[in-house]
Amino acid sequence: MITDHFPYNVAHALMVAAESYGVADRETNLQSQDQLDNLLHKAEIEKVE
Amino acid sequence: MSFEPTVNRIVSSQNPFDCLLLAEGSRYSQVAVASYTWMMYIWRKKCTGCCQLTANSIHQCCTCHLRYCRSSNQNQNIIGGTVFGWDEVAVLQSLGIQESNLLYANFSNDVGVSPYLIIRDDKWKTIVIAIRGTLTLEDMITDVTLTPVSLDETGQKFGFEGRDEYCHGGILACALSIHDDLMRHDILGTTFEAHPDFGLRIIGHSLGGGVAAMLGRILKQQYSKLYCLCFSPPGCVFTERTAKESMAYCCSYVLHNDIVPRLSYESLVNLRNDLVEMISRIKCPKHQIFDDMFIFKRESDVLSYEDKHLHPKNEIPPSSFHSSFEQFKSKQRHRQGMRMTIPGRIMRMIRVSTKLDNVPCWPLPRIAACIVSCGIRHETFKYKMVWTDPKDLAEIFSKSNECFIVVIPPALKIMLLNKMYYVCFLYSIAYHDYRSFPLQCCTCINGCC
Repeated sequence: MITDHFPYNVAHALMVAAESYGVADRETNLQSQDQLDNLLHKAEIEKVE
Repeated sequence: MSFEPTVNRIVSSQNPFDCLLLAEGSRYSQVAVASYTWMMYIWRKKCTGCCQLTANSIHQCCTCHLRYCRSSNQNQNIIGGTVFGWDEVAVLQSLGIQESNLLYANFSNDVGVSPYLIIRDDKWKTIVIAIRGTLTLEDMITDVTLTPVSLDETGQKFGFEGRDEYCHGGILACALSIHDDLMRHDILGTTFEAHPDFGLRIIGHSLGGGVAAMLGRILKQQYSKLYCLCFSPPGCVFTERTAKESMAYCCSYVLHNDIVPRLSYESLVNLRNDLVEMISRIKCPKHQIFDDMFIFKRESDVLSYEDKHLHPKNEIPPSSFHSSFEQFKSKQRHRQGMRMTIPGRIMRMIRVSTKLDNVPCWPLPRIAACIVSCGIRHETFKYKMVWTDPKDLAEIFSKSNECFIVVIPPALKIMLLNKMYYVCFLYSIAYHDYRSFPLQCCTCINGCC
């Protein structure tokens, strides 16, 4: 349980997960505030549905 | 206390928002690790880390490039840390970045003051504020300063609605100290003047994650391109409304059965009650449970362990211990604390072991399995990513198959009971509710069974 809190393990898990999703080296587009808002809005709609 | 996990949506590779947050989490978790500076560097490079940092310090000394030999202008960017500059060297080497990309670092550490650093990520066009988590005794004191502090005054000062909302006291103090330091040096102002198209990420692990969420709440009005990434933040950062509002600018990452995102006043009180109640439920002497630890058992034996050694919760036999504990609980009900929760959206990484299933619960095979898992770690562990509801992280001690009750063998839990009881008792003292605590239970616990 406490080993799951160790920062290196968290980082490692995220790295493995990102690799398995194929997004490890993906360029992020969250810089655009409009785009970020759109994505958040879409996520909210999905949550409601 | 009943606990039913909610149904959660799996993180989708088809959803761009999910992918972006996973990609950002993966990239910037490395920065969160690097914020632990030389200690984490040496831990990661056990054989060569110390030599590399020493060699770098000697090189800097020989070339008169040591921090304390430089001009005062250069020194302003790095505050505190070790004399030989191990902190900054460890950060630069861990992340593989140039010195010019480390814009600012303040390694000063005290109660209510967390070390943090600011780096410029040219590839993803982002300015990253990374706040270190718990490492020193001062940080631990900050951690346990979990008295909720009202956000009313802070909200009026920084332009958000904080009426009837509360934040973990230590976290709020850290966030305000970092904000003051940022304003004093005008770091973000000058940085965004030079890079107006850059985004801002505030990240942190553990205590740093909670501080990142609070700092994000303070800075959100000023910086619209802000997003907070909290890695394993504590489970008692905000009250529910503020936590819900933080979903717009914050994401928390929780690894599997991590205990820290489940820690709150409420969950600790429930844990204490569950553990003490177990004393009333034990069917057999404790030495028998201890002896059982060394006997070979199948997984099915372990799963039936609780039924074998404990009375069901609704069939606890009457005893003076149990009745005094029930009285204590009834007196404590009016002391229900404020419900605090984890900030932002919660992305949980559930470990799906592909090779370690059905390992006999016996010490030697377990140790062997651990060695195997360390050797071929990349192949062994896979993770299922799900968006989780804060309610799923509300309990430490639950009947969920993924929680405490299975992770710690029941025998070990019962052995730990005495120590946990005293810890819970000290915790009660810290919260000034010791007056009604059944002190006679201490002797009862040692004497019973």
